[in-house]
Amino acid sequence: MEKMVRFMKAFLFVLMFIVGISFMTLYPVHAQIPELKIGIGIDADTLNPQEQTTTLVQNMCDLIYDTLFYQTPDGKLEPRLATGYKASKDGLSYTITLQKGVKFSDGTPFDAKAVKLTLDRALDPKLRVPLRFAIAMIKEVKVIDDHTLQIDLKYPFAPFVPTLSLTICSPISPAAIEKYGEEVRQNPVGAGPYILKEWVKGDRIVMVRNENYYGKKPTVARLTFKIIPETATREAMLRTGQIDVCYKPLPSNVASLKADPNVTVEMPLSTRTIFMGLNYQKGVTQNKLVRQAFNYAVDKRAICSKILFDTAVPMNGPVSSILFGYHKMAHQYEYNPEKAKELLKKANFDFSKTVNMRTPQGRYLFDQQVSEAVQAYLQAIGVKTELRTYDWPTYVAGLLKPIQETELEVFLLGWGPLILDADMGLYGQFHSSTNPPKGLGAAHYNNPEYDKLMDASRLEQDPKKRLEILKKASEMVWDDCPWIWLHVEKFVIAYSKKIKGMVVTSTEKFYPTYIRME
Amino acid sequence: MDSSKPQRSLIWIKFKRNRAALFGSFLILIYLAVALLAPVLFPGNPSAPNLMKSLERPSLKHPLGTDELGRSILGRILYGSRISLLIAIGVVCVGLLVGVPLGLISGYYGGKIDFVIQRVTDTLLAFPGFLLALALVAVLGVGLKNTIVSVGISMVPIYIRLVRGCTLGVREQTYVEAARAMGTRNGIILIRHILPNVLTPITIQTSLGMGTAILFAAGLGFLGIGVQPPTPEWGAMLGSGRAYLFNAPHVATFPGIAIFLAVLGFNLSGDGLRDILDPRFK
Amino acid sequence: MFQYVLKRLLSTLPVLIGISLLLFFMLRMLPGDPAQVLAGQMASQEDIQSIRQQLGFDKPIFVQFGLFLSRLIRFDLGRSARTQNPVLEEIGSRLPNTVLLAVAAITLACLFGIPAGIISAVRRYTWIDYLFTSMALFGISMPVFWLGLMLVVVFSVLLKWLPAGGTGSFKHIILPSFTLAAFVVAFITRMTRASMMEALSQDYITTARSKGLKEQMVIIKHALKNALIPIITVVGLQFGLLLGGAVLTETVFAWPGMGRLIVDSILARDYPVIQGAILIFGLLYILVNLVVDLIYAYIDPRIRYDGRK
Repeated sequence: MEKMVRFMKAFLFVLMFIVGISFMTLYPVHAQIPELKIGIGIDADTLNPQEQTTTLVQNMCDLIYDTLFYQTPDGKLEPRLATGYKASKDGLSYTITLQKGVKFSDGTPFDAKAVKLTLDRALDPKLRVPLRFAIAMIKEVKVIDDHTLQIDLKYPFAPFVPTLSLTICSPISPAAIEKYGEEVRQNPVGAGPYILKEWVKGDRIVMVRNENYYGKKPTVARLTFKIIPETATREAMLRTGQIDVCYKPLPSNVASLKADPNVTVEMPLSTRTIFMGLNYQKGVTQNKLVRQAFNYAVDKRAICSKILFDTAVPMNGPVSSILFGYHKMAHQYEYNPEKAKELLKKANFDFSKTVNMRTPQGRYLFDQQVSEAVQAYLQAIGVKTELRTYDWPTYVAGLLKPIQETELEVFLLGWGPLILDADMGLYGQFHSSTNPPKGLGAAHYNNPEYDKLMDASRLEQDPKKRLEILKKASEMVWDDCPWIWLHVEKFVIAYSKKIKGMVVTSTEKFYPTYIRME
Repeated sequence: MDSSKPQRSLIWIKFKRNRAALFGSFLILIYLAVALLAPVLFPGNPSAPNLMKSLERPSLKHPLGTDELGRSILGRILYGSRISLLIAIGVVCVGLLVGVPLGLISGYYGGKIDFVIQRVTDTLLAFPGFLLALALVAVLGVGLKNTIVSVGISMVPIYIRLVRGCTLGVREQTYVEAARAMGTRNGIILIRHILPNVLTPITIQTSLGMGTAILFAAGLGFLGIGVQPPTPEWGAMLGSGRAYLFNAPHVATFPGIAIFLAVLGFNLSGDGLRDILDPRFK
Repeated sequence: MFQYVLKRLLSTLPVLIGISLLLFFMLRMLPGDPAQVLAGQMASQEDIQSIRQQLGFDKPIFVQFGLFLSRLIRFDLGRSARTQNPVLEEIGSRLPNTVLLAVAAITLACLFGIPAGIISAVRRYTWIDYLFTSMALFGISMPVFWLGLMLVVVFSVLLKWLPAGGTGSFKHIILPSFTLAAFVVAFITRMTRASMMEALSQDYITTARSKGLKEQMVIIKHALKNALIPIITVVGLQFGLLLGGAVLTETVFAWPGMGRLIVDSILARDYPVIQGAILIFGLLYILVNLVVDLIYAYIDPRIRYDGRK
C-alpha cells in the first residue's frame, strides 16, 4: 500500500513534469498576443522624454525609447542600453559601457555619441527640461570610444546610477533630432521595444512591436492606449472586456473591482508621500511642541481607510518604505488628542489665533477631503483653523515664496521621488538648500546638523554606511516634525485576470512588454 | 406714476389666483425660513466630520445620509441655504447697483456715452455668462466674496440692456418732457420719473436673476472654484459627491434637489410676476 | 445680400477686438505663473526663466499684446503653452465635438419645445398646458450638472444601458445632448407658447377661420409662420447659453469639447489656448446671430437686409 502511494506520487511528479515541459515549449506559440488595449485618462502632450513630467506619458516613452538602466520594483539595477558602470574613487566620475550592435528603430546605430547628444540636450538650458534638477549633478559627458562613455559630476552623488534609469536620460535617435528638430515630440524615435504607429489626438495612441528590438522579443504585437477621461467609464469598460487594462481606477471603487472575478487589481506602494507641511520658521508652527501636537491630533489611519479606501498607508518614517534608506521609526505619533492638547498647553499655545491652512484641489487623491479631515482634527483639539483651496498654478506660486514673504502655515503637498532612493525625499524636501524659492521644501525646514548629515550621505560610497547616515537623518527630521506625517499613496492599476506577468512598479509605471495571456 | 391702493390690491388678487406663482412664493418662504432657522432645525456643527460614519445611507439619525467625511447631509443642506441665499442676494445687488445706473444713463443721455456703454455690453454679452463668471473667478481667486462679485458682474450686462430699453421708451413720454421743460435737473428726472417706471421689469428680472445666481454659483462650486470648504455650499457638495456616484449616490442627489427647489421658487414667482405686471404676456 | 453680410461681419470686428483686449489683460491678471506650471514643481529658477523667455512672457505686457494682435491678423493664434501644438489645432480637435453636442441638443430641444409650445398655446389653461409649462420650468430650474449625474446614475449605473461618458459612438451622445437640451427646451417652449398665443389672437387668424379653413391649417400655416421669428431669435440667443452650459455638461460626461478645453486651460494657465478658444466662442456666437438674422429675412420678406422692419 505504501509502495503504491509512493509510486503514485512519483508518477504524478513525472506527469506534472512532462506537462510542465510541454507547456513551456508550447508557450511561445500561445504567447503571441495580437493587441492589448489600455484605458488611460489623459492624452500625451509630448512624447519627447526630456519634456515629460507626467508619469503615465513617461511610461509610454519608456516603451518607445528604453532607458540606460532599469530599476526593478525591488530596487535592483538591471542593465538595459547600458551594460555596466564603474565609479571613480572620489565618486566624481563614472565610466558607462553600452550595448553593442543596437540600432534605433529608424536604423541609426546606437552609440556613445548618441547618448552624449541626448544628455547634452537634457542639460541644455535653452531647451525645456522640467526635470533637469534630477540630473543637475552632471558636469560633462565625454565619448571614450563607440561604446564607452565617461560622465563627470560636479559633486559626488551616491545614487547617480539609479538616476541614469530615469526616462529623461533615454537615448533619442540623433537622426530623428536632425530630421524633426523640436517636433521630435510628435515623432519619437528610440531603441525601445515599441514604435509609435498612430497618434489620434484626444482618442488613442497606438504602438507596434519593434521587430529589431535588441532585447527579448516582446509578447504583445500592438499596444493601444485608449483615452477615456472619465474614470468610471474606464472601469466599466474593463469589466465588460472592451479594454484589458484600466489605469488608476477610483479608490472608492477598488473594493468592488477586487470583488470582480475577471479583474486583477494591483496596488504596490508608491514612492509618493502626502503630508501637511508645517512652517518651521514662522508662525505658531515654529514651536516644535506644537508641530508634534498636530501630529498626535490627526488620526491618519482613519484618513487612509475612510477617505482613501485603503489606497494609502500611514507614514511610519519620513519617506516611503520602498525607498533605499527608509527606516521605520521607533517612535510613532499614534492618534492621541489628549496628548496633543497637553503638548499645546505645554507650548503655551494661543488658542485665540486662527491658523491658516491651504490645500490644492484635484491634484492628489481626494486632497481636499484629506485637508478637511485634518482641519477637523485640529479643531477637535481646540485649534481655530481656516482652510482655503487653490487651483494648482496659484498654489505653487504661493508655495515658492521666500520665507520673508511666505504666508504658509499649514499646507497639503505630495512628494514622489523618481528613483527608489531616499535622497530625493530627505534631501529634496528637508535640506535647507531646497527652501523656497530655490526648491520646493516649502516647510522651510532649516537644521544645520541635518544638512551636514545629508551632505555626508551624498559623499558616502559604501551603501551600509550611507544607510546609517540616512537613518540618523530620518530620526532627526521625524522628531522635528516639519510635516504632519500623513500617508504614502499606492499606485492602483486594474487589468483582466487573463493577464499574467505584468510588471507594475513603485514609481507608478507598468510594463506589459512580456505579459502572458491565459 | 404712483401705484394707488386699489391697483395694488388688484395685483394681489391676481397673484393669489396664479397658482404657480403662489407655489413659487411658498417655496421661497420655506427657503427663507430654513435659512433663518437652520441652527434651530439642526443643532450642532454641520461641518464637523466624523470619519467613522462616512458615506452612510439615509437613516433615522441622518435622514439624508452622511457624506464622505461622515457629516450629516441634511445639516449641510439646511446650513447651505444660508450660503446660497447670501450669494443670490449679493449677486443681484451687484447686478442692480452697477447695471441699473449704467442702463439709465445709457438710455437717458444717449450719444457717445450710450455708444461706449453699449459696445462694452455687447462685448460682455458675447461671452456666455457662465464662462464670464468662470474667468472672473479664476482672476479674483476662489471664495464667497469673489464668487458673488464674479457672478454679479456676469449679470450686469443683462440689467444694462433691460434698463436701457425701458428708459428709451419712457424718455419720450410727455411727463418727462414736461419735467425737462420745467428745468428739473437730469439726476432728479432719472430718479423721480424714469426709475419708478422701469421698476417692474427690474423686479421680474431680479426674481429670475436670483435663480440664475444660485445656479451659476452652484456650477462654480461643482467645478471646485466656488466658496471655500468646509462651507456647505450646495454646488460644491454635489461636486465632491461625484466621486461616490457608484457606491453612495445619495451624496450627490440631495444637494441637487435643494438647488432645484430654490431655483424653481424664484423662477415660478418671477414668471408669475411677469404674467401679472407685464401686459404683453397677459 | 452679400453686402449686408459683409457689413454685419465688419461691424462685429469691434466686439471681437473688445473681447480680445479684455481677455488679454484679464488673463495676465491671473495669479500663478504659466512658466512655473510648465516647468513642473521641482524645476529650478533658471529653467523657469528660460521657459518664460521661450514663451515670450518676459516681455512687457503691451509688447505681448502687440505681438498677439499682429499674429491674430494673420489668423495665427499661437501655440499652446502646455502641449506646444498650434492653438488652432487644439481647438480644431475639440470644436467639432462641441458643435455636435450643441446641434444635437438644440435639435432635441426644438423637437420637443416647439410642438409643446404650440399645444400649450392652443389648449391654453388646460392640464396639458400646465404639464408642458411646468416641465419647461423644471428644465431651467435644474442644475445641468445634477441632471447629468442623475441620468448617469439611472442609465449607466443602475440600468447599464448607456455609457457614463466619453465619445465614440451614437450611444455616447445621448445622455449629454439630452442633459443640455433639458436646459434649453424651457426657453423654446415658453417663447413658442407666448408668440403662438399672440399670433392666434390676430385678426388674420379670425379671417382665416371664418373662411372655413381647417383649424390645423390655421395653426400651422398662418399662426406658426408668424410666430416663428421670435422662436428663431430665442434659439439663436440660446446658443450662447448653450455654450456656457456645455462647460458643465462636458465636465460631467468627459466630453472632449471646447468647454472642457477652456476649463483645463484656465486651470493650467495656458493663456494662448484660453484666448483662442474664447475668441472662437465669441465668433461662433456672432455668426449664429447673423444666420438668425438671415433666416428672418428669408421667413419674413418685410424685413430688409438693412436690419430694420
